[in-house]
Amino acid sequence: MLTRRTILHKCLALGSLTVASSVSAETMFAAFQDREKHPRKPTPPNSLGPFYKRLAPTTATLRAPGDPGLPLSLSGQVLDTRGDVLPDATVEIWQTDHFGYYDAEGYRYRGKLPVDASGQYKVETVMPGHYPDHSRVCQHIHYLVTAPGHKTLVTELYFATDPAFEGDPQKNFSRDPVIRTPELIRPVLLAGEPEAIHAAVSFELCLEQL
Amino acid sequence: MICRGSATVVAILLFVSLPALFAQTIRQEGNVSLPAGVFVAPPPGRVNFSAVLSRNAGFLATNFNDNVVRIWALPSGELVHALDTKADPATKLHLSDDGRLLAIAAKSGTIKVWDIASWEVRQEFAVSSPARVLAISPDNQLLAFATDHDEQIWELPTQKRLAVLHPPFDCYCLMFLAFSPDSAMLASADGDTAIRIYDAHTGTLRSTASDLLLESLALDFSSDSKSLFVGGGDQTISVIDLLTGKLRDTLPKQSGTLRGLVASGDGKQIAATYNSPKRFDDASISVVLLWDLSTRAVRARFEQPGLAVLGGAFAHDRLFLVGGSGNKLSIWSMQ
Repeated sequence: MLTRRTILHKCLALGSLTVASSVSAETMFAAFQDREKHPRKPTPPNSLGPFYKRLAPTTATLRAPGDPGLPLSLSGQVLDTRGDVLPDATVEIWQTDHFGYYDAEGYRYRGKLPVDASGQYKVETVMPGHYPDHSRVCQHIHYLVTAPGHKTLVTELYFATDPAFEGDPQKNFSRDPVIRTPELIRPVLLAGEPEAIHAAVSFELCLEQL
Repeated sequence: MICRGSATVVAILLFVSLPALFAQTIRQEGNVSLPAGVFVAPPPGRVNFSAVLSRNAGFLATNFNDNVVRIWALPSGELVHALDTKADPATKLHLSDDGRLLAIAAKSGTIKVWDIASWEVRQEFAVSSPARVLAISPDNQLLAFATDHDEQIWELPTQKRLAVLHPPFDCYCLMFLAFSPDSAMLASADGDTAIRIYDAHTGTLRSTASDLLLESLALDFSSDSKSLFVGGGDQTISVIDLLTGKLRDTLPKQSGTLRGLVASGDGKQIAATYNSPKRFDDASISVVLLWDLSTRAVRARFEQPGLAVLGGAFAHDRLFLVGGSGNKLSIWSMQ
């Protein structure tokens, strides 16, 4: 039986593989195999509803001037489990307003946007509020991510600063029974002057191939 | 919230108010005290909370915060069975229409179908993840459930799997499953907001209703199995033609999310629960409306802060409501 390395050598000899690098083919083969051996873990799924609304507008700006709440920039990259960027992906986001209310009538704090050529997305919004009736424990933002040839990802983003975690999301994530893994809880970066403070969160999204 | 849920189990919470106008039609049938520390209204971030009525209003199955599944006879409120599920907490319950079978999905991924009369396990299924939604067909021949990744239909007597379905977005987003009264169809309220109607015995897709914008949180078939009543965040009851999947009618919009509905056996009425306008489970301002389908008008409106109703069922020419407050369960009937 041929080894993976032998096959790569054969591909190189037959011209079906070209190594365009200053390093040796052996080094590139090693990196190739290493990458194949260590696939990225797909982003864990999480609940969709019950306030998902179809036909959200295409926009990266969910926050309107004067909206109450802490301004929040969400950004990240959409990849597959091989680590390849997915430039054809679409990211759809919906969340509550600062007071914890969804807009079921219209499309406030709902939007979808295509990622750029490097799989990156960026959304301007506000930090979502806690549900006033406490039927959910933690603040969260819903994601629905699609890309041709890949399994649709439905998940939620949580914030490490949420009081429910008491500063230790790894230990306390299960205080919200909907959170099955702390992987969905992201650190929050605060920046700006005190009178114009804003938050930023990075959330990478990894999709499984179909 | 309950895509949902999510991994959560959602109880239908209704707050019922009994205006003086209708007071003479309401009767309290039973009143039961739960053990200390057990609450009808779930605590914030509730886990494993579920309450279901059989369609014939003969039994109520509950799973409150102590992880004990209880079966209550209605309308007396007599406790019939109690099953401690602390070792493998129940995540979802479903009572058959005739109240003979109880399906209990557990955290471990098992689904057990209990015979209520003998209190023995009739069938047991092992699935890959805890069932998020359960349904037993009215003829007690079929069991449908959704795991995280697929939806399955099984024949109960033979324990033969009849179909595996793959709705969009996996089943993290599947909100509701229901069989038609003739047990021929299975309706699935899917995460993409579509309602898919399958042949219950083969899993073949018969029609897709894709006119709805928001997820459907509750649905029920008409008694003649020709229409489907659906509602959710759109705050309306939509009537869908089961043959074509097209929207046939929409009842007047209300001011809250529709969280539960049940159609009467004679096809003339629908009882629907509407929660807070913006919240999922904010029961504090919820109402129950009884709709007359022939006139498309509300025949009665009920609200009474402080009483959480767990569900409703039409039986014996009455609408039965089961609710409670604190650790007390109450059974009401309305003619």
